[in-house]
Amino acid sequence: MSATEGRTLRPADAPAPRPRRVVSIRVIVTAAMLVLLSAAVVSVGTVQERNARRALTAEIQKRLLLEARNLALAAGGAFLNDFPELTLLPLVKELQEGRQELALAVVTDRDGVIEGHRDSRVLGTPYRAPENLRPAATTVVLAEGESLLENSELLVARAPVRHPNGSFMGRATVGIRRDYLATILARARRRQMIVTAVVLGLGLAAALVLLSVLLRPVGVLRAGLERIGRGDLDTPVALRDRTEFGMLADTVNAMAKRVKQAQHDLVEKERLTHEMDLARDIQSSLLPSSRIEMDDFVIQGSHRAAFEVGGDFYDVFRRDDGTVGLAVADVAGKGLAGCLVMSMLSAWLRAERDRHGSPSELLAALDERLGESLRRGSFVTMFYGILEPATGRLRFASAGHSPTMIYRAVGGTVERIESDGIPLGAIRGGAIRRTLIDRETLLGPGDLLVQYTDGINESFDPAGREQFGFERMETAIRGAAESGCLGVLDGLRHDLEAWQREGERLDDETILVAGRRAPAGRKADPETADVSALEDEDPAGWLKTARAIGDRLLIPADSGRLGEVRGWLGSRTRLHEIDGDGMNRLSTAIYEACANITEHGYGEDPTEVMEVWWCPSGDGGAGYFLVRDQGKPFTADNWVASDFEDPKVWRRGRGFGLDIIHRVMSQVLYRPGTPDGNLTLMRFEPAIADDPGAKSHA
Amino acid sequence: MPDLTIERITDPGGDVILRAAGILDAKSAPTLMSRARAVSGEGSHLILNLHGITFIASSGVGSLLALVEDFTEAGLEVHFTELSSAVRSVIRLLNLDKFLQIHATEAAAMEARRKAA
Repeated sequence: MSATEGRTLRPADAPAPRPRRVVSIRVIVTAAMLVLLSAAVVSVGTVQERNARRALTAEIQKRLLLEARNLALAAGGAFLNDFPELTLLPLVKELQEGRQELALAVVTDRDGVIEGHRDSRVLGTPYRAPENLRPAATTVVLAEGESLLENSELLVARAPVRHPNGSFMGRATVGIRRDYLATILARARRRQMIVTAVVLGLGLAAALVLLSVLLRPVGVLRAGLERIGRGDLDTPVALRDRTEFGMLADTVNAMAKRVKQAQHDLVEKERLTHEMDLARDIQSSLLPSSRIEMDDFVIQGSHRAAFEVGGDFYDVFRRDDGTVGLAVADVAGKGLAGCLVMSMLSAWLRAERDRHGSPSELLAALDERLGESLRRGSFVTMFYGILEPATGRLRFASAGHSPTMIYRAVGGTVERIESDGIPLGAIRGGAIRRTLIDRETLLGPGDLLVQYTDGINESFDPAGREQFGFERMETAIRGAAESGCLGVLDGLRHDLEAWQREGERLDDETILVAGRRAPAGRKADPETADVSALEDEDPAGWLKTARAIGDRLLIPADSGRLGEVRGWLGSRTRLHEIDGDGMNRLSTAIYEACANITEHGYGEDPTEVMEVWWCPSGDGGAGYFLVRDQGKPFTADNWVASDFEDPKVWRRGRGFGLDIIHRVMSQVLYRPGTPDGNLTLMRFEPAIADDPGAKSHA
Repeated sequence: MPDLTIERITDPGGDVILRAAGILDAKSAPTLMSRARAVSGEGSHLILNLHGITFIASSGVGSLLALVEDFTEAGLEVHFTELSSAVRSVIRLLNLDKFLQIHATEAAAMEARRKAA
């Protein structure tokens, strides 16, 4: 087993997920109730006990004081006798008998001698009060001479013994043990605890019963959700409950219903997407994949599908008589239906194309076939032309299709020719024959035919307010016409993309361009040509100057075709003066510049095109190369020369293209994202290419 | 017809000669690398004849440097012979002729190998 295998757990080997620990709501609520109830009972009990202790203490103080007063009153009568102790002894004994809590009962005369006590032996002796007595805190109202005292063991009440005339005769003192009070309070607390325990027990039992009743729907809900989780969306959760659980069950049932609908929608969407992919494949398979070059003519089309597959169609084919058929059509209606109509149209066009020398006759034949197949309300607009490449003669007819545009090199104007015919299949019974007209024109050197579908001129800006329109199309055609067929295709697409920016493409966009090459020849004498704009680092005038004085190569972003650069360079004016090494290096440098754009700018998309301009300047093959593309802008300004003494550079094994370019060219300027596209301007001096060291010495 | 063709010969000394012809660019460089690595895998030294290369791109140059590194790391040698003008001009442009073992003929390369052995 490899290290990787050792680290990877197969699903079958993976440990089973640990079961989730479930804590019952019943337990949580019961525990919470227990804690809350206990806290409440303890709090209330504590307050109650404090109040009870206070009330009990006041009551006992009152009773004790009353005992003292009663004893003082009885002692007042006894003091009127000669032997008061004989009267007071049984009185005090009777008072304390059976009352363990009364620790003290004593009567003293005004001198503090004991006159009344249950122990006869202490009679006649001075009274010694218990130690550490201090006034007790009390709410009881005391009369004159009365006092309530306490120490750690006793609570003592004292009342004066008075003569009937009010004079002070002595003092009655009664004391009670303080632990008596504690005993009474403990008894009360025990009772309270019993009551609390009973209340708590009853509360918990009631809570459990209530929770069991209330939580019963949870089980039903859980079973229902598990059923939904297993994919059973048809069995609803049956719960008749008036609480929130009932609402929850209704919500779950509604959710299951929506999930079922969403599932259905998703399946339907996937099916439609699959159909759309299929339709798109059919559509692209019907379109020509390469350009046609015949005599002076270059013919190429471009098609970009909308998000929803449309019904655009174009075809370019050689006819049996040596002419070239050009067809552009737009099927009303999108989706699979439009695509199927397009497929039928393509097949019928192949069947009919060599039978009719007249474009309008071919369109009428297609109308007849479509009329039998199209459902009412459906139709197809179509342009069809027959081009004689040798002469440039073009005959064409249009069945309700977008205006045909023809660029005239002489004068640099664009003719816009409106359609005369009604669309194919629009009206049954051959009515179209009365509307179709064969038109004829001659495409001269540098002239271009541009036919397209309404997805081009009706393309909206991102705000959806304005269409691209015919004027912008004509401007784009005029601006790129000197670049020929591929340049116009490229220019139109570039301007259209700039117009749409990130907006959604709502319709298919199809363009077909047939361009007749302009005669080759120098536009300006290199000896006298004004190349000052190319000496400027500002790119504003580079392309204009190149168009005025330069030779151009259009080359697709296809790494397999970049080798064409060498053949083109070898046939350029003035460059043939360069020796073998110089040409090898120049070829490689231009190849590398194009290879960078192919890889980084266009992502190896062979449908994209770049321009290489050669602008001779001065003697001996010196001049400027301008490379223009519309791909993703990139700059190599931060390039650092490779250090070939570093083994890491060798191991890298790539990234030497810029080394070659910078060693061959005396100056390299990158200007990405200009209004003319991405521009790379390179100054070539054969002396530098022959001896790169001269560059650093220069 | 492929952009790059490679003919393999084993010299009497046991070294392998690869004769490459065509275009050496990003598309064809992996073919050369693959054939050369087969040689280093056998533990043989390589004599690479570039007489038939009509065009070399930077990726082609890169592949030459990378395979020299591969052979050196394996304790083996790569000798280049009969560089076409297309290859020679680019190799000299990058001053790589100082770093590569370049010989005028296969015989000179074999002689250099014999002396090294």
